[in-house]
Amino acid sequence: MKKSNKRNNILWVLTMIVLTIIFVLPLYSAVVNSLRSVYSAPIVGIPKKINWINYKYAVTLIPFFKYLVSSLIIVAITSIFAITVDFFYGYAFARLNVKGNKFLFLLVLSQMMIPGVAMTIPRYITFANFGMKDTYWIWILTGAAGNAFAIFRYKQFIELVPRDIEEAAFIDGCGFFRIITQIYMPMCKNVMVISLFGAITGAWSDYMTPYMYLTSENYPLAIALFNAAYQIPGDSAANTEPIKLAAAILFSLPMIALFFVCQKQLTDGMTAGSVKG
Amino acid sequence: MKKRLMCTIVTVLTVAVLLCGCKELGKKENKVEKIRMTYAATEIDGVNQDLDVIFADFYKEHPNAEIVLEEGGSTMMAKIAANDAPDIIRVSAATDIPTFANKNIIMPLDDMLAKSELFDKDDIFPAALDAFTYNGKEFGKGNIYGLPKDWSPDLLWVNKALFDKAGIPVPTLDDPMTYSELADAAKKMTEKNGKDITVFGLNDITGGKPYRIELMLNLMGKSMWSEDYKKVNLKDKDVRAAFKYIYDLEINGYNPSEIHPIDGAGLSDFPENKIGIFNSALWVGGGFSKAENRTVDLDDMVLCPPVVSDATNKIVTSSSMTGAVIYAKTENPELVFDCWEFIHLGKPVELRAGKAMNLPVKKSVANKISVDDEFTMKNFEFVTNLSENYESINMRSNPYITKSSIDGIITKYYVPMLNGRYTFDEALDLMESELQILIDEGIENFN
Amino acid sequence: MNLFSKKGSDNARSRRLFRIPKGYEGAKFKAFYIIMIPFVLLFLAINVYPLLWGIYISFTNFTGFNMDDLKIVGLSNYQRVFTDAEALPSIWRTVKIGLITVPGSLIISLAISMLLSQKRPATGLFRTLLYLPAVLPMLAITIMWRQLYAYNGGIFNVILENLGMEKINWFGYDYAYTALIIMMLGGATGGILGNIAAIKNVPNELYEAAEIDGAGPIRKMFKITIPMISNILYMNILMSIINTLQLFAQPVFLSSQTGASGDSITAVPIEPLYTYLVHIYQQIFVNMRFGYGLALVWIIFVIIMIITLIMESTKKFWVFKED
Repeated sequence: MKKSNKRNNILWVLTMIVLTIIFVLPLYSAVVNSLRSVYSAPIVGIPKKINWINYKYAVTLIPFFKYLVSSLIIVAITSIFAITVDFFYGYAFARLNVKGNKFLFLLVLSQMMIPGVAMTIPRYITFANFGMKDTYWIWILTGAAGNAFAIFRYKQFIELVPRDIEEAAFIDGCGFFRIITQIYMPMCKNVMVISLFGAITGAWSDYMTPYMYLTSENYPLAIALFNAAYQIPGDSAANTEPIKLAAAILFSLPMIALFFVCQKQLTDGMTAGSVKG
Repeated sequence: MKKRLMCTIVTVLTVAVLLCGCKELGKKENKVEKIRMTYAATEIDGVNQDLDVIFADFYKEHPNAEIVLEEGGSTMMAKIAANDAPDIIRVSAATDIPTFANKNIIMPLDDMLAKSELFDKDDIFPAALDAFTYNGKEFGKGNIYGLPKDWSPDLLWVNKALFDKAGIPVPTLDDPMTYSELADAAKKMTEKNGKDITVFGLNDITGGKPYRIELMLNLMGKSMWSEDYKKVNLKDKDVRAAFKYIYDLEINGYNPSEIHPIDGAGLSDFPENKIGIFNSALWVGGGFSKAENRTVDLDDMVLCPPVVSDATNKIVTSSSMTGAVIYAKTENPELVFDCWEFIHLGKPVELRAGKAMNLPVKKSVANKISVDDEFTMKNFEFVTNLSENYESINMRSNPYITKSSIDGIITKYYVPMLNGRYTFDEALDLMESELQILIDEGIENFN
Repeated sequence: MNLFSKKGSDNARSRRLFRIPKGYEGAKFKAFYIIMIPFVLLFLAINVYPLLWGIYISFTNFTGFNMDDLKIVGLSNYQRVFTDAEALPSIWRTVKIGLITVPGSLIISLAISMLLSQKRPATGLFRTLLYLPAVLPMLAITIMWRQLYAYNGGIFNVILENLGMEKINWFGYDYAYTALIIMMLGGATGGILGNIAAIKNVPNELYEAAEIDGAGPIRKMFKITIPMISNILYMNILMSIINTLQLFAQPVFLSSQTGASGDSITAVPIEPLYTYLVHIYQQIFVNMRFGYGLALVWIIFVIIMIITLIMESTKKFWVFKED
């Protein structure tokens, strides 16, 4: 029994290694190719001469840190709303059953099914001239209007919490603000991490909204890295693909780091969520 | 403990949001005149990236101005629809100006140019000026809408060793290649190894297929559009022949295409002895001398005049030029014009031209340029010489349909055709009917 | 995690009937309005108003320049969908992609989740590594995959060459579809965290009982694990269908034409990757047919709605309920 278990373990580990290699292949290839020379074709193995300069180019050819600040601001705005306002909305939909609640919630849900472009274009055309240009107001307003996915998730979780806790707290003189922030929020901490993670990754890689509303002064990295911005001055003939790859890796690193940081909460949150869907 | 951490995070985030709000407020107090443009920083100056450095002289005269760049290409149409287009719009002259000028999206600059101290009509290369002069139907006549940032005629880069091997004479200014000679040479030089093409006789990436075809037709005095632009005639004898010409080159692998791909768009392949004729512009030469795996001798990379029409045998070509125009609804036209003028006629012109990678718009600047690199200098002088004595014809461009629409439709059916999903004539039919629908709609919504 | 069990919540509900605290309902009402009034106002302004405007525009001939003399054209934008040579074929193309990627991703992520929820060495490490591709921003992923598919020197072609086969033009007409599918399946591990969590939540007693009955691992998987996590699988399938119908970025950024210029939203992907959303983007951003483009949007929205309603109303046949 023990021996066969050990053999099974080895077999299992081998399978997992193969699977990991398959799924991590794009990342590996990106790393390797980001180190090749800008005057050469794609490669498979590690290049003979490692061109760290591509990473330097990726950061210096564009005002990388200025763009980073903008990305961080957008991420900050979005994430604040994801863990505060959305939670309140989710709570209201879950617990405060007043007439009209269901209909409103359906409207929110329908947001999940409309292709993004159907909202961004009309929103842009109708709002562009209300002083939204080159400010972060659009993120503040859309954030305050709630994110359908986050509201949906919060509602589901809050519905699982027994009501008597809330009622007991109410008898003890707790207002609803305190009930939400001091009872529900700590209970739903892991779900909040999930929403936060979703909000951060979403805002980090969104290119459409900044395309519309921002100018180079406030560009986030998502735009800067992926339009034609990479050109070595005076050397327009260089193939900037390796630099783009280097940029893509730099662009992904914060998300990978974030994942490592909140991996445990994400997993726990999902565990709790899997009971009810 | 964890609660405190959460509190800290929320506080930090809130402060960040407030700060960015304050940043906006702080800006408003200074009464900054923002000038928005869709150039990339590298395109304006060629040396510097930092806008404060590039526009240092401009800011001295206009302390209240602030120049910001923004993305133009894909979202430009939505920005125009929202009355929110940038002040200075980067365009590809032949393809964007007809749409924009006819819909009054851009303003004619004639009056302001007449007052300008930097503008001397005789000092501008005629081809560069003509490409931005438009009267609602034709280029070369009417109002001036802008200028290119820099430019280059279409040129042939020739691999002399491969020409010698195939026994073809290298074209010269007096004896340029015609389209039929080009096809012939491409066929002779192409080498195959099984299905793989090891040497492409020709690599033509200039401006896309519709551009190439319309240029060929215009050189012969023909066009794929009817005289009033209201009809598209792809099945006209000459138009069909022009399509067939391109199609034959690609289906046989003489020119790279979706079925015979080439990596790096030819930029790294030409120096590696994989291309016979590279139809491109002056600037690609910059990468050739630096190419890591270069096997072609620099002396064997010869710059030649563009292809001429079989019928006329004149050196005439017009190039797709990138430049900028001014948005008609801009709030502060004078200031925006000053900025436009600074970029296109002021100091940046010299900086951009400094590396001799492209021609400046001013002849006087072109004649002053000198770089140490012998290869670059030789080619630059060749192009300057060619351009000063060159008779340009202006491409026809349909005001009722956008360039990207034409590109989109033709690409959509061309590739399946190469792959045998449609026969040649079926594909032309489909392209024609879909183009016609958009033209009809364009006419209907034309002011 | 007792708090989250269904029983607790039921008990609470039954008990509540007997003692609702004084003033609770009133306070609830007040709280509702304090939260909901700003929500409704913002929601109307930011989401509903543009939505209605978009619906209105879909009945006009708006092309971006003609706001001043806008004509109502009735249903003609909607009729055009059926005469347009590309609209319906592009829906079919999108569905064809979904027919492979939706079940494919489900099976891959389920299989990996099953493997990872066993008690084995270093499961945490493998889980992290396998989930990694799902964390990367989509834009970065497509840039990375373009590299894998390069004709010369791309990993796939190098492998084919070493196996003595011919190189493939992955961006070409014949293989673009396959290339997209492989790329999308490469992101299939995005569901594993949720799946593993759900699998681990399945009570051990069920397996033990099944073992006593002599059930093998495969039987256990189909009779216990899959029914017990059917809820999360259902959600995965639904979201996956919705996302596939809205497929846009992957085909556009993967297509070879995008590589040359940086301007990517308006690039026309090769025909097999010309999906419905790409067609919409082409109409809006390239041809400036805002009216028609938005009509196309509302049609896909209605299709998605119908699919969702069908799935929701047949949910009881798909999803296993404990009670």
